[in-house]
Amino acid sequence: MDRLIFHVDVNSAFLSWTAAHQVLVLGQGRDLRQIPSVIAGDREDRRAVVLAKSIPAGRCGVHTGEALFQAQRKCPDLVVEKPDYPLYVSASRAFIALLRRYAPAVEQYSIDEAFLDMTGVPDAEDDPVGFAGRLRDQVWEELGFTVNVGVSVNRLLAKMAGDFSKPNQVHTLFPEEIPEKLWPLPVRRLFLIGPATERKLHYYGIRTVGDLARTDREFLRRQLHRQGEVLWNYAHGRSGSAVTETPALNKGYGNSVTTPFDVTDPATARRVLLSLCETVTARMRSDGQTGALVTVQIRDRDFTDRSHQLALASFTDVTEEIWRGACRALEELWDGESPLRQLGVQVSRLAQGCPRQYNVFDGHRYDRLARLDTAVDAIRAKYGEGSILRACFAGSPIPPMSGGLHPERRTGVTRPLPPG
Amino acid sequence: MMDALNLPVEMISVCSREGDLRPIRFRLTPEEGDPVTVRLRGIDLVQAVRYVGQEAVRYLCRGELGGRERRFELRYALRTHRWVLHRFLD
Ligand SMILES: [Mg+2]
Repeated sequence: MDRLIFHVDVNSAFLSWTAAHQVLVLGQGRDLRQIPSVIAGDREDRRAVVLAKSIPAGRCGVHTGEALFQAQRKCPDLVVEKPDYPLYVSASRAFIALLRRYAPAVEQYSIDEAFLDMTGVPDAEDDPVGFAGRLRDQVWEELGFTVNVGVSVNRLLAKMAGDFSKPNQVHTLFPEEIPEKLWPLPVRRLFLIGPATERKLHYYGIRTVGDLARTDREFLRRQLHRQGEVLWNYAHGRSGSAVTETPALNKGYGNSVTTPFDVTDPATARRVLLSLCETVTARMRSDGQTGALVTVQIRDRDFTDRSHQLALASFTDVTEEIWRGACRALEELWDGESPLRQLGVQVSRLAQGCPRQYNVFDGHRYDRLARLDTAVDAIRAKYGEGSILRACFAGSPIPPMSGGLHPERRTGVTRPLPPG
Repeated sequence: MMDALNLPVEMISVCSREGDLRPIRFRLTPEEGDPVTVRLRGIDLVQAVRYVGQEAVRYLCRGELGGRERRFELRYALRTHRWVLHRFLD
């Protein structure tokens, strides 16, 4: 059976988010999206790079990734704004939360794009383009920025469709549309083709995606090895065997950390788990998600990975409840003394705002803990992550919130895998 | 369109048992001159918004200012708990 996959991508995300904030929140009359403008580092800094550009700036020949002074030479009236990462994180979270209201499975692919598995959603299957259009309009009305939606049967084709023409567009690229819509495009537009690969393909006279699709597969394999076969499959709209298919979208929330020293006692290991649970559950609460399965993963000094799962008594987003589950999973997994180098926690079997199943012994205690978590989240949102920490982390070498990226960018998980 | 004012104000408001927040009276402190107190005469529209993920409530209100009734928009930001006089509507 065919799947139905949407790729939803914010148009010039950083620029759109700064512009929407200026217009809708601050009430400024000027809209950056209507004039030549870019988001870039400090304008005094000659190394500053263009992070995002408006469409009018693109018409002046400004490219994302080029040096700001070059862009200013092409376009003397260019308006330059600095990036506002905290704003982008909250815009990204609201965007993903909105998508979750409409899609049974959402996989965030980067800070401003996500794959939606709409298979089995009757309204979407009856009229995919109409549904995608309503989703696009809802993002605009509620959050104030435009998106492109690509519609197809797998992630590769949905992403290619979303890239066709911008902004605020819905495009389909179903397999039967490949010769008409995909093959006339220059090869560089194909997913994962960079300048080096483009030069090689040009050398063999392959200029369009259609040229690539019609080239002998064996020839490509000889010249470009495994990449040749992958690209040939892409040109036919297939992700190919070289691509790991993600088994299920919306797998869960997880984090892991390589400890600065070997962990050789249970008390330290539990503290590391707590520090991981803090970041994982904060993200779940921010997305309004609860989970019922906790997985602990450990890596020993020989780089052997092992993991153990434990089903929780109830769906929960409470830090302490998930941490206690993680500690029990660890007990079954580890002898409590062989040196560990890395620990990870993952929460899965997710549900949105699932009501708690009360447990006679500790249900009420968890209500209090949930209120504590809410208060801690609010304090951290207002005064920063370091403003409040559990007493056990005071003076400890383990950071109180472990894993992931720079705090401001934690939500923007970018996966290196191509879409399958 | 003219830029909005976004003047921070001190607010006296009521929060109902249901959690609805209603502005009652606010004080505006101009850069020059004395503070002005504005008592609301009515609220015409209340709307929760979350543009770019910034949760806020918009209030389109009427109140007496400078000896005549004026219409204006107040905004309350959920994250920062700040009230602003966003713009005049007349
Ligand atoms: Mg984008």
